[in-house]
Amino acid sequence: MAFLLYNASMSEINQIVTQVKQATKYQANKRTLKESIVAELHMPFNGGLFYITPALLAFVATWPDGPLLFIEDSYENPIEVDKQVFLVKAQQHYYAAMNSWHQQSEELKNARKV
Amino acid sequence: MPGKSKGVLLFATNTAETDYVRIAELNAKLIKRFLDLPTTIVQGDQGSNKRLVDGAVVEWNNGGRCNAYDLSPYDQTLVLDGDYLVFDNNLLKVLDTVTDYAIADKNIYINSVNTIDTMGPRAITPMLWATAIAFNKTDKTRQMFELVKMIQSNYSYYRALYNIEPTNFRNDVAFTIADRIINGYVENPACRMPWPIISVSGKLKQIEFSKQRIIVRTEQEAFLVPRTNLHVHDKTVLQSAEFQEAIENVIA
Repeated sequence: MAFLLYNASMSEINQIVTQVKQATKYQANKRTLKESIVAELHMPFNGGLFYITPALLAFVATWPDGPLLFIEDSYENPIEVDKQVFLVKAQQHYYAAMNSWHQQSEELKNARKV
Repeated sequence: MPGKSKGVLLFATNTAETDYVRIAELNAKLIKRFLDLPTTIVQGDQGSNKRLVDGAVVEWNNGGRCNAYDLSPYDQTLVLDGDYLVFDNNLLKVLDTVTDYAIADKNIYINSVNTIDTMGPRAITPMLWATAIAFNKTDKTRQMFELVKMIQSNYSYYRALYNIEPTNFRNDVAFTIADRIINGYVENPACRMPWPIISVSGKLKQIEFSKQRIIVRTEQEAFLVPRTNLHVHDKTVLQSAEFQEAIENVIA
């Protein structure tokens, strides 16, 4: 009886080990995907390079004054942008990158075993 | 920038173990496909050193990178390791916007996510990665490459001065020190790639490609990577007939 119990618990442990390994790889794959999307979310505009985030989109969309605005880019330079032109392009860029991220993320979830 | 020539410079010098030129030629095809840029492959005869890679001592020819500014026929240049395989067009964003030069300061490993590379515990500055450098031919860039030459020529001195642990010459170390000096010992985000290099270390069994992904297999594990630029340390897998055939299919 004791032998059977021991076998059962070893089997459980092996199963847990397999699950942990799969989960670890899933997290590693998820992180790699996230890092690649960071590159995708960068958009060149008017000589600057911008990391398009919800905060940046909201900031530009709600800025009250004038058509022109200076925004800090990824190189820490202030870049003059036409608010409306920038916003439209940045929204399109953000949507495309996030859509790709979502699609690839769903595929990763369905591909725990390679 | 309109009117300026753009291209990629790859340094490749064959060793007894590795056909670096063949790997660079393969990468040049990927560069044409994903960046639509011409590639110049520089074969050097600079002195080699030995390096421990995955438990084996191999010959390592890495001396020519400091001459990239002089050798590049382009106004705007990407200098890449031959084994930094290009699978997307994001490097164009950096090439189109960088003022002087941009060098990577982050490197993540798909199969070793918690690894942090340093130049040793007592090194006085974080490490940069010479794997990928974008530069314009400006005075500042020229001076930076001149500094790299000087550091390479006097490596023992600079290694001691900056408390660098690795004894063999490393381009990463020389460019890190040159960058610190040229920027007045102040961190300068204008000289950084805004995203990390993605690398895979250790011995690999196979690299395959699906429509959207790269599948990297080791003996025990498999990793799913999006179609993104990938720095592959294992040269054996890059020289395999299977890999070369797979790349031809990616390009087609």
